[in-house]
Amino acid sequence: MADDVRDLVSRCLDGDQEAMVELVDFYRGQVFGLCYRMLRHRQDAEDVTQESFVRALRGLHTWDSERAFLPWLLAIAGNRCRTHLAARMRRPHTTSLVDHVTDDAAEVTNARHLAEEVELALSNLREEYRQAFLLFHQHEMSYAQISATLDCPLGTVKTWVHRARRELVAQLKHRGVVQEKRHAVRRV
Amino acid sequence: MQCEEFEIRLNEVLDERRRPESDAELSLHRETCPVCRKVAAAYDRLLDGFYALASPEAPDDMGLRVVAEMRSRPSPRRRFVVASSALAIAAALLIAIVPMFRQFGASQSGDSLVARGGGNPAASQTAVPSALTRIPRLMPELLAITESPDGDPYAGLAKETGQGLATVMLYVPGVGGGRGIIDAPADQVPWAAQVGEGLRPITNSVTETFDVLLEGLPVSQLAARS
Repeated sequence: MADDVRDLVSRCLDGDQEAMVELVDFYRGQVFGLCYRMLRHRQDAEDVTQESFVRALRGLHTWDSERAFLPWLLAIAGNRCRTHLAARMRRPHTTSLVDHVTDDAAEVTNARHLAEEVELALSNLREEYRQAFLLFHQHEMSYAQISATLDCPLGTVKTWVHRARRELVAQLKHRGVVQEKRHAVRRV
Repeated sequence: MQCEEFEIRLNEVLDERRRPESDAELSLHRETCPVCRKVAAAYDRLLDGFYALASPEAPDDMGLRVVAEMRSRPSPRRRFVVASSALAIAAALLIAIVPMFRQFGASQSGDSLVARGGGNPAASQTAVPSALTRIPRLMPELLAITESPDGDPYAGLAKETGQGLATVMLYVPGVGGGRGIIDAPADQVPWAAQVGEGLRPITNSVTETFDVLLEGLPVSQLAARS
C-alpha cells in the first residue's frame, strides 16, 4: 500500500492529472470525514476538503516519503479546518450540522438520538480536543501519529484525548443522555 | 482498585483500543462499585453513540474538482516566484542602465561609449554612437532618475552586478523586443550576433517588465526634472 501511494505521489509530481484524481479518490473519505466533524457543515467541509487536497498536491514535494502519507494529509486538512473555523468566528454564525437535526425524539431510534447527542457534544469541544479525539477514534491513528500530525508532544495529545472523553461524557450526563445501560435513554 | 483510579485505568484501556469489559481489574471494581459502574456506562454510551454517527460521503467528483481548481488558479508560490523574478530582473536592469545613462549624459558631446570598469572587455572597447543617440528619446524619465542630488547610489552596485547586464543590453541586437533600446549593428559587435538569438526571449521579457515598471513611475514629475 505504501508503495502504491509513493507511486501515485510520484506520478502526481510528474503532473499526471489522472494520478491526482486517483489520489484524491483514495483519501477523500478520510479527509472529508475529518473536515465534516470539525466544521459541522457539509458545504464548508466540501470546500475545505477541496482546498486541503489542492494544498497537498501543490506541496507534495515537501512530503517525506519515509513517513505515512495519511497523517501528513490530515495535518493539512486539520490546519485548513482551524483556519476556516477562525474565519467563521469573525463572520456571522453559520448554521451547523447539528442545528439541522429536528428534535423529534419520537421518530428517531435511541441509537440515532444518542449519535446526535454525541455530535452536539463534539461540537462544543475545544478544537484541539475534538481533532485529537477524531484522529484517535475515527481515523484510528496512534498517539505517535497524532503527535506528528498536530505537531505537538505525545503526552499533550494523550491529555487532549482523555479530556475530550471526559468532557463528552460530562456533556452527555448534563443533558441526561447517559445513564446505566439497562435504563432507557431519557431526553431532557 | 480505588475509585479515583478507575477512570484513569478506563482511559488507558480505551487507549489500547480494548473494550473496558475485557479488563479484569475494571470489571471487578465495576461489579462492586455503583458509582464507577455509572462512569463506565457513560463511556460505553459515548463510544456507542460516536461509532453510530453516520459516516458522511465525500462528493464523487472531488478529484475532478481539485484538478480543475489547480488548473484554474496557479499556485500562489509560483505567482510569487514569477513576480519576484520579474522584480529582480527589473532591479538588475535599472542598476545596470542608470549608471550607463549617467555616463552618456556626462559625455554627450563625445561620439563613443567606453564602459566604465569591469564588464566585457570586447564591449568596453567598441563604439556604438548610433545606439546611444536613441536612449534619451526612449527613456527621458530614466535620465531624470539619475539626477541624484546626494551622489551616486547606484555606482557601487552597478560595478558589482550591473556591468555585465549593461554590456549585453548595449550590444545585443534586438534587445527591447525590436523597440530599439539599443540596436548595435551586428558587424560592429560580432559576438553579440552569436548570443543575440538565444538572449532574445529573455530580453523581451525584461523589456516587458521594464515597461510595466515605467508605467508605475511618476513619469510627468521625472520628465519635468529632466
